[in-house]
Amino acid sequence: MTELAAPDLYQRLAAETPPRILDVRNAEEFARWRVEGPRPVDVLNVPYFEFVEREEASVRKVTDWLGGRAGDLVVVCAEGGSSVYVAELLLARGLAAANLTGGMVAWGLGTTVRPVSASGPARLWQVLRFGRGCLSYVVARGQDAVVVDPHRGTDVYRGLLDRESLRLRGVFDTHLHADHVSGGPALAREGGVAYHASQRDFEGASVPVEDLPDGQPIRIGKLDVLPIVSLSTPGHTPGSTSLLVGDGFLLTGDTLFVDDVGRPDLGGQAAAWARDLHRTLHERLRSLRDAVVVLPAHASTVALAGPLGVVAGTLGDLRQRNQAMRLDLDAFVREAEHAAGSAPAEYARIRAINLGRETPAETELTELELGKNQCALSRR
Amino acid sequence: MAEYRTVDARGLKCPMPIVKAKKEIDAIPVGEILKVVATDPGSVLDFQGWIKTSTSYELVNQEEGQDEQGRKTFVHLLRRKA
Repeated sequence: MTELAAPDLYQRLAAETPPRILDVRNAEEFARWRVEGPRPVDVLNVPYFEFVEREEASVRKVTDWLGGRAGDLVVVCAEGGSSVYVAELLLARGLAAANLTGGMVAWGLGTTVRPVSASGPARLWQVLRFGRGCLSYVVARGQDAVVVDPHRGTDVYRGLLDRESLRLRGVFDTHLHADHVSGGPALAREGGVAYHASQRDFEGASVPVEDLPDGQPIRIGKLDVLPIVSLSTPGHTPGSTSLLVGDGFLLTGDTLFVDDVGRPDLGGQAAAWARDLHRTLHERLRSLRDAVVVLPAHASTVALAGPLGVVAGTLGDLRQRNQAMRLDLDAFVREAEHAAGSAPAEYARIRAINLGRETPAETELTELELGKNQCALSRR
Repeated sequence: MAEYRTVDARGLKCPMPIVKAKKEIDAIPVGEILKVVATDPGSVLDFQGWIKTSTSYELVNQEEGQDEQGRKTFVHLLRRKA
């Protein structure tokens, strides 16, 4: 049987004739979270236990759905075991199917790396964790590099640094993440560099944090090795900080997304934080040119990736088209108040982990991070 | 406490707890109960889903427990109806 790694499946879902997906998890898990690609995915859910109970009828469901159409079939389950079971049943009946290795657990950790800028004051790569819609960045000048908003699968950053012969000089989090476990403290510790984030988000943290003061060029030791300036952009969290790279790229964290803004209601003070965020979007960022490219920490859907696979938009475009950014203050506050209370229960625990107060086992981390991020205001 | 016919599915990942349970429940007399001890948390929803696909068995009870090695267990009691 053909085994398909998560990044390879993601790649193939971008193709002209993407493979079809047979998802054999139970209906509840399927409804919560499924494989998505840059194009619409043709997917059928037949739980594996239906194959156990009535093999023939279940196989017929699949063949009826395929209807003799050409193209590949990939079987997906939670961890990659039941999908092998089903793929073998199908193969025994003459229907070839590949298996998503490691199932949705592997899908949730899979990444692709895309260059955003290959020249200019800094080189920049975007790392897309496609199953969850999380974005992170590597910024480099010469051989010096920093990593921004890394997730816990830190191998992808180390691999990129190695490939490009880059030296890690610092690790940054734009804010205290609530939807995913940060790889920042671990990456910084292993690389022997500082972990930078706003003290306003990290007060009382058990991990060592170097503050990100507003309006300062980032210095590593006495060197300003990279053309990065931190801008305090509160609202999603009080310490949310955007990083201006050169004068062409703005790493916005969860402050501003391509098609939405970050939720200001996750801290239990929806109205106050929404006012902060509105001020950030309309006063703080006002002086930035329309041509500045916004690089966010989340994508609500990977369909936002452009032809080069990068999720980005110019400030000018966002000012025109991002509906949340166009709301006046009253409407914006109402929207935030409306969102309040719908935060996933696991966010409090994830914050505690990111503050270094708790260190759970890998199995719990996987459990905590199941599903897509819910950080955007209007798409929660 | 009644001793039920038991499937030990501890340490097994899906699909094995249900594959094993299916084999056993088809072998016990109608009216009897089969106990399945699993450690996979995914088995809770999967057993509920599986039982709905058949009129021959019903789910009597599901509860969490702990085995002698301190592992968290998910105990499923099924009755063969037909």
